[in-house]
Amino acid sequence: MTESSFEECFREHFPRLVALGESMTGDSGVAHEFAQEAFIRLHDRWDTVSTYERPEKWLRRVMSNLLIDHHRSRTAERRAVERLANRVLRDEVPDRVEPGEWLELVAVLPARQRLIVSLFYGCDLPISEIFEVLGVSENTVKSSLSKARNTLRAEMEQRHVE
Amino acid sequence: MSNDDQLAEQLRRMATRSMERRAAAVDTDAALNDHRVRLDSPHAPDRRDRRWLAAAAAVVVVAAGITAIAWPRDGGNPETDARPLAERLEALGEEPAETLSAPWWRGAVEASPATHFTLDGEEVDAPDLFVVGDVVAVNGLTGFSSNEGPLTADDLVDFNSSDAVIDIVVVTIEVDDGVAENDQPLPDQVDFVLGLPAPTDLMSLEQELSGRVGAILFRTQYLDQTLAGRLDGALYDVLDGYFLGRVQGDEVVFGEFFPPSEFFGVETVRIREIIAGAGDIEMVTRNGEPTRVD
Repeated sequence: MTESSFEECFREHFPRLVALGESMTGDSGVAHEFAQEAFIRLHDRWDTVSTYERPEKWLRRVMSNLLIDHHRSRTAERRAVERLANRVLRDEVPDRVEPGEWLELVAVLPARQRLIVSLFYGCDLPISEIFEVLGVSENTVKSSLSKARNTLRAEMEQRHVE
Repeated sequence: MSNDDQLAEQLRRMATRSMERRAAAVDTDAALNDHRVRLDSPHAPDRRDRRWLAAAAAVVVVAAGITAIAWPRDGGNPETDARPLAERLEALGEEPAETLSAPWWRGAVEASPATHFTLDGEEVDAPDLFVVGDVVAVNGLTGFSSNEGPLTADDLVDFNSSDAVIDIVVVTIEVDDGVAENDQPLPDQVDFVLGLPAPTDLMSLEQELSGRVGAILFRTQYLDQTLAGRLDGALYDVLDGYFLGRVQGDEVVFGEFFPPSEFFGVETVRIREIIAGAGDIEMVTRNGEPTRVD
């Protein structure tokens, strides 16, 4: 393993992974933790992944899976509450964001849509790369993106009216 | 520029600005030091040595909140998983939801469909069914090729196929007693699902579940949507991945089929008491959280 190249990779991509994590969870601590976990896994596989043309793609995939898993465990805790309460609770609202900020805006989206719009708009990934990162079909990404856009448009219009 | 383009541009600007600002706020030196400390920690070798595949790979199967770790495979070994159900579920890393802890239902009687919860004065949903009856069939329904990310129809593969990571099994109960939410009539038969590590050995599972069982169930929407067109009737899921138990006399013993957890132990409850339910339980929202009024 080339430690210097690993460190270089860490310095370049760790902050971006944290930003992606925060856009999904709104929690800097959780985002840091998952970014660290992603890099621990990268460290274990560095000999292989470093030969990839774009190791950051691998990192994004690991990070995305960790974020989805995190969301899922939160969802499991909430599932019974939702059923019991007979109403859909708001989906994992980021807790340290300013009104009008991106994180606050995307909090209205379901988890996967939030991740997809963050990858698309925030990380500037093309759809072809997002479905590879998330391991879902291209149609799923397109459909999620379209739904997310409609939701965000309505949300922004409503805020504008208010 | 069209409205769509304007929206896209606005979203891109907001997202980019937000993520750049957050990335810039990261103390990379401190994070790198933290990373090195973690690598040197005593837990790191375990991580590298373990044989489990796809660490932390997780899946929600049938909306049960099941967290899945792929069953380790031995170079395409065709042997099926014939362990007791509790061990199979434990291999999946299933952790029951914490709904037995306060303030939610505290045991099967309160979880009964006949129990009426109110939240801030409004009646709320209960589980759909409590059924008692004989297990008459255990069949494989489908497999999922993925163990990560929300599963969709794209992840469907044949049950027990070499591509399956998770198998979905349908257990059929011939119902002879129980209670349904809102005093609805009980169905003659009920199908409920279990998500298990693939490849699944059905015969051993059928043997383990054979006989009379009791189960508190809710209708699962997830597979209905994912398997649209491939299902004959309603599919149910075991409430909290826990409320399935063997019937002994006039009691149900919950917990034996499932891995032990700090929230769920073995609970023996009279069938009549579950059918009667726990009456009215009032909840109110305090500090944003539903809270029991006891």
